[in-house]
Amino acid sequence: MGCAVVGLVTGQFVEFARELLAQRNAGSLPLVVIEHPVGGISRELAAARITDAVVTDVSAALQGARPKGKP
Amino acid sequence: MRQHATAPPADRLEIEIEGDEYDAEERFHTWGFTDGLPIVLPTRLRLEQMAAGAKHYSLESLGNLAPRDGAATIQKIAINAVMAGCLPQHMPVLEAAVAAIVQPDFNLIAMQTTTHPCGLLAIVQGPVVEQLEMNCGHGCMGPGNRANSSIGRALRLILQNVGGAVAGTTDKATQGSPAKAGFCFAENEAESPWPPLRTTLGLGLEDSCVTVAAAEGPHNVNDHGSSDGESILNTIAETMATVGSNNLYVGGDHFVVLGPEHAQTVAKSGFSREDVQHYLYQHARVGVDRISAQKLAELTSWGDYAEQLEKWGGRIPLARGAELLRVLVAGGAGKHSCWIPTFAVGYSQTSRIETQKQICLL
Repeated sequence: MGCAVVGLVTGQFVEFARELLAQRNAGSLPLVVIEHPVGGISRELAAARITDAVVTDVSAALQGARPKGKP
Repeated sequence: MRQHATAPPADRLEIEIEGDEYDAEERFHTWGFTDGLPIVLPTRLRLEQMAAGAKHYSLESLGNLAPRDGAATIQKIAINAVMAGCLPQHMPVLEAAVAAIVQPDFNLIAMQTTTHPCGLLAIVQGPVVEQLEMNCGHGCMGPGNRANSSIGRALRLILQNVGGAVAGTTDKATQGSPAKAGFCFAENEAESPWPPLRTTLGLGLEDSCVTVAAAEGPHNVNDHGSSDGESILNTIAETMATVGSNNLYVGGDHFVVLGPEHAQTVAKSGFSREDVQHYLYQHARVGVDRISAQKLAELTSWGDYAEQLEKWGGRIPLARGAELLRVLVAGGAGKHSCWIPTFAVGYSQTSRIETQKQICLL
């Protein structure tokens, strides 16, 4: 048994994250994509990046399902 | 955009290419094996000649380079050394540099993949500087010296081709930097008023070594007016006290490289190297009033930063400790010095350059 893990990544870095995970033999780690950027914006706007859909995807990924719309 | 017209061969150590050298070189560009500049083709004969200059055996690995975790064998180091235009006698410097960057505290994976524009700085020190005819004087940070330029370039190619940090793909530097193309110079020990840098790093005068760091390019410090050490150090401190530096926010260690004339003036005013470190630690600071409220809010949301701000009295030191400022001398005549900020999410590492063939541990 391990610890369920899901990665959060912004749209601008998703391909980078996938390539990096593949290089590190962690290509099966589920990623949930949020809107870019999360820096240089207000805390309120950053918090708003975590939409209901993102929460649903994270929850699903932690339970073993692949996030919606991800190959 | 980097484009691969054809997939690179699976076995990179044995590549058969039909056609002349021009065709072969073009293929290397297409495969993404170069830094964008012409290369020397790593033919079997050139590879054997290069590897013969190494102090470790050809199949021995000096460690795995992140993010790909490629094994940095002597053979692969030699291939990239050939491509960069190195000479066989440069190999021990490359071996030492690779041995240094795989140290955990260097944090290679973060350096390779960050959006920060850090390149791989290599400072060569000791008797090897003269033996390799490296430039520690005028223009030592480039261009014009074969060893300085080709060793710096070879390290970049090793990071790219063995470590797998490909610009725009796994190397996510927002803008990059000329320093990423290669940044290697030598300490000007002969014109330094202080003992060589390596003696502060646990090495002896008879040793040669290389110090590597994930660094920005040099930030110039022009001071043609000051005639005493304190005034010059104030100019350096104010140059360092910038609000956009990773060192201000993260810490890490960084480099103050004094030109020989500045160094002599500072030393004649009674400053030892340790005095310089302490002076700059105390004076190279940024008041919180110079940092935007939003940026400050972000900073104080991390770890114990708010507590630290109180301790610092609202003036953030560029170095978290005097000993984290590496002070050395390089360059020629003139009234210029430089500060070399770093990525800061890791620490510089120093490795001895071997002069004897090493026992194979395979």
